[in-house]
This record gives sequence, C-alpha cells and structure tokens, in this order.
Amino acid sequence: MVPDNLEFQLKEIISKVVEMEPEKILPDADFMNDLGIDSLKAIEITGAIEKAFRVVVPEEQIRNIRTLNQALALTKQLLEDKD
Amino acid sequence: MSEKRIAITGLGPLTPIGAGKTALWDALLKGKTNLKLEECFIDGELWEKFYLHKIDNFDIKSFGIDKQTLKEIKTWKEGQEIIDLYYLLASIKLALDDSKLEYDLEDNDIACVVAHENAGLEQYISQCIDSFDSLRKESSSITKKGLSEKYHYATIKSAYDLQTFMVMFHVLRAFKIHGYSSIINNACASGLYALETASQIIKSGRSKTVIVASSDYPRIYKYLWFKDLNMYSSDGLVRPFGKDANGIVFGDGGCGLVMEDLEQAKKRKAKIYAEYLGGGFSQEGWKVIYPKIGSNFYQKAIKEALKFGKVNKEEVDLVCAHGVGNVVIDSYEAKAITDVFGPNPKNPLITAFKPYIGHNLGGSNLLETAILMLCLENNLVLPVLNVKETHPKMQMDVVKEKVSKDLKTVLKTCCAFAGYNGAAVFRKI
Repeated sequence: MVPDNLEFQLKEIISKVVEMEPEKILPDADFMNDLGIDSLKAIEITGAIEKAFRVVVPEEQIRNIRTLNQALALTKQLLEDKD
Repeated sequence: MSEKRIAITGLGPLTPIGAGKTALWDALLKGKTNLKLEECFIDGELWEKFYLHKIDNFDIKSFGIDKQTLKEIKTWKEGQEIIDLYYLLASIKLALDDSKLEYDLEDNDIACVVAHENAGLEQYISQCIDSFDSLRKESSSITKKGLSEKYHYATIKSAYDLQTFMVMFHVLRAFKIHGYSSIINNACASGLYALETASQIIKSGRSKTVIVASSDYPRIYKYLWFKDLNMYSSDGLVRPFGKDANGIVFGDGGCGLVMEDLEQAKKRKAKIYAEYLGGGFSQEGWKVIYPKIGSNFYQKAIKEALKFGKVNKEEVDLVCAHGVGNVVIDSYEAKAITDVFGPNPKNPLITAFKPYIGHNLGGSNLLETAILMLCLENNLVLPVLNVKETHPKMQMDVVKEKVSKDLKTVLKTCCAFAGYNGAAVFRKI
C-alpha cells in the first residue's frame, strides 16, 4: 500500500542519509548538480528506501534516482507492484 | 580444524609485463606497463576499441608443458585455442618450477583449486557468433555486426554463468594432480576464496600441498558489459583512489601459487615467501554492480581476516587494496580501510597494483597476492602509478613513490561484483 505521506517520508529518509535539512530537498532538485550529493550517497539513498519500504529497487534504476520526484515515482511504482 | 600452518612456497605470475617472478619484479621496479589499444574488427569494419594490458606473443609451447597434453587439449577443442586455459597451465608450471616441488606423477594427494570467473567465455561467444554467422549467410539478411550485438545482449546474463569441469580436467591431467580439486568463482574475489579453500584443505589433513591458480583473458564481450556500465577507462590509465579516476582497464594474465603445510615446506627446505595466516569474507546480498554503501560488510571481512589470522591491526605494515579506479568502488573500499585502520593512517601503507598489469578480474587477487609476496621478499612497497592526488573525500593516501620498509605482515583486500568481499593476511617467516 502506498502511504499518503510518501513524499514526506522520502524527504525524511533522504535528508537523514545526506545530512541536509528536508526543506532544502526540492521535488525537482538534482541530487548531484543542485544539492551536491555525491554518487555514493545516491546509492546509499537507494538502500535506505529499500529498507524503509521493504522494496527492491532494480539495479538498472539506481542511476535514474536523481531527484526527489524520481525517487517518489519509483517508490510508488514499487509499492503498487507489491500490492 | 588442526593447528597446521600454511606456507606459500611457489609463485607463478604471468602478466603483460613479464612471465615468472624475476621478469615481473624487474618490470615492476621500472614501472613498466604494456598498455595496448585493442581494435576489434568485424568484416573489415572497426567495431570497438579499448585499452588493455596485453600479453604479447604468448606461446604455450614455450613453458615446458608436456606436448602430448597440449595436443590432447587441442584435439578436444577441435583446434580452438583456449587462451585463458593456456594462461592457467603456464602459471601453474611457473609456480611449480619456482617451488621446486617434486612429486610422484602416478599417485599423489596434491590438491588443486582453480579460481576463474568464466573460463573459455570469450572464445565460446566468438564461436557461437561464427556459428550463427554461418546460419545468417544461409537464411537471413541480418549483418554479422547486428548479430554480434544482439547475441551479446541475449547472452550476457546466461553466458557469464558458464562453468566447466573440463578446464579443471585439463589442468589436473597436465600436471598429474590426483588429489582433491575444486573450481572457485566469487567474481574478482575468487583468488582470496581460493586461498582460504586451499588453507582449509591443508588444515583438514586432506592434502599437504595445494596448487592454487587463476587466469583471465578479458576481451570484447567483457569490455562491452563494462562499457555499458560506464565503468571502463577512456584513456587506459587506472588511477586507484585517484581524484581523477575514470574507470577500469582489463589485463591479461594468470597466476599459480603453491601452498603447503609449513612443516612439509620446512622439511624439504623450500623457499617460503610467507605464511598464510587467514582470510575473512562477507557477502552483501544486495546488488551486482553497486557495493552496499553505508554498510559494514567490507569492514567485517577485513576484521575477520585479522581475527582468524590472530593479527592486531597495528601489526599490518602494508595493504594491497583492490583499487579498481572507479570512484564509487574505490570510495567504498577506502571507507572500509579507514574504518578499520583509522582515517589517514600512517601505518599500514596502502598500495594497489592494477596500474601495472590491469584488472585480471577473477585472476586479479592471486596475481596481486604474488606481487605482494615479492614486496615482502624485497622489503619494498611499490607505488600506485598514475595517481598524483587521491580523491579528497577518501580519508587516506596511497603510496606514490617506492618505499623501502621492513615488511612483516601484509593484507590483501577485495570488494567484488555481487557483493563478495574478502581479505587475507600474510606474514613473513
């Protein structure tokens, strides 16, 4: 089931991994170019999403998680597929 | 398990810069490489080109291996040359010659552990393509290039699982090895798993001598995979932990090692390069390409190696890291090393050997272990070539100039694809 506050939860997860205020993580801000998040943290975000929502992010999708909105869309899809 | 101790008594490195320990060490001291631009043509058209540390003019007949055995292999393969098998045979012969081991060819309990990611794969795919090409000429308008690309994508998952008992059979028959045998495949970490397996064979009392060997002959099909992953260096320079690292570069080669019960080695007055003290291993169970950033699996493997080896971290003089030259993987490795040894450690020194010989994939860890043994023997730390500045986010430096140092205890580490992490500790006796 997709929680109503999925975006909020994702923001919290990402902010914790990258040690950044949640409000700085704008929906379409590019993790690397706009937020200065390195490729390692981007991979760590994937692991944190998997752990929090008990989903498996396909390996080929990891490099596509570049913004909060992309993370949101993918997580939503994975949760729907689980149902 | 008994308290038997394990000695390394023979080294058989086969590399692009030298076959055998003497030639290799001379080349390493000079900082030599044999980097070549490999160009792949199909029907006269350039398909791909990539840099590769290449063995030139390899001739299996020059290694003193029984001619009848080589003839039988060629007959079995219907004339096809299986280069990575030949590299294995050559490496084992070099190691056996170096160890001066004598044994009864008719009956012995010598064991053999071969570490290989995918023996014969390149030739297997080429052969399939040639077969399909014949079909195409008869029945379709598809081009050979189109078929090659299609076949690459169609087989990349299944063909990489290729394993065969025949590789081991050819090795055992060539050297008349009659004891326990096993093929190990843990991706790039295969060599470390093979060393531990050999150690356990000796400790169990099953055999007093184990020949451990690995090789790889990476060509176009492995390159295509790494290229697709955007992980292959564009300029051919591997820069482990470097600020400007831009990827992996393959290297041809193989390595044989002779491991023995220490008492037996002493009794026959063998040259002992080092004692294998122990290995540590972990499996991330996560992704194939990406290491599990933020986890402690690699740290666990290194700590386990120290624990099984009964070594305090302060005793480690030198670490030979995997150091592939990919920023993500190198960062993961640097984090594990600095978590264990502290940030910016002065001791141990940290080095990596892929800039000299390239990445020999499943064979890389045995080959680099052999070089580490030569560093131990010569009390010399080889520098990491191509790296002027380490990545600012990695809290460690690498050796950039040769360092003379009284080396006693050294560590080899590896974090491989599919989350296989390994580490092994060795000590000079």
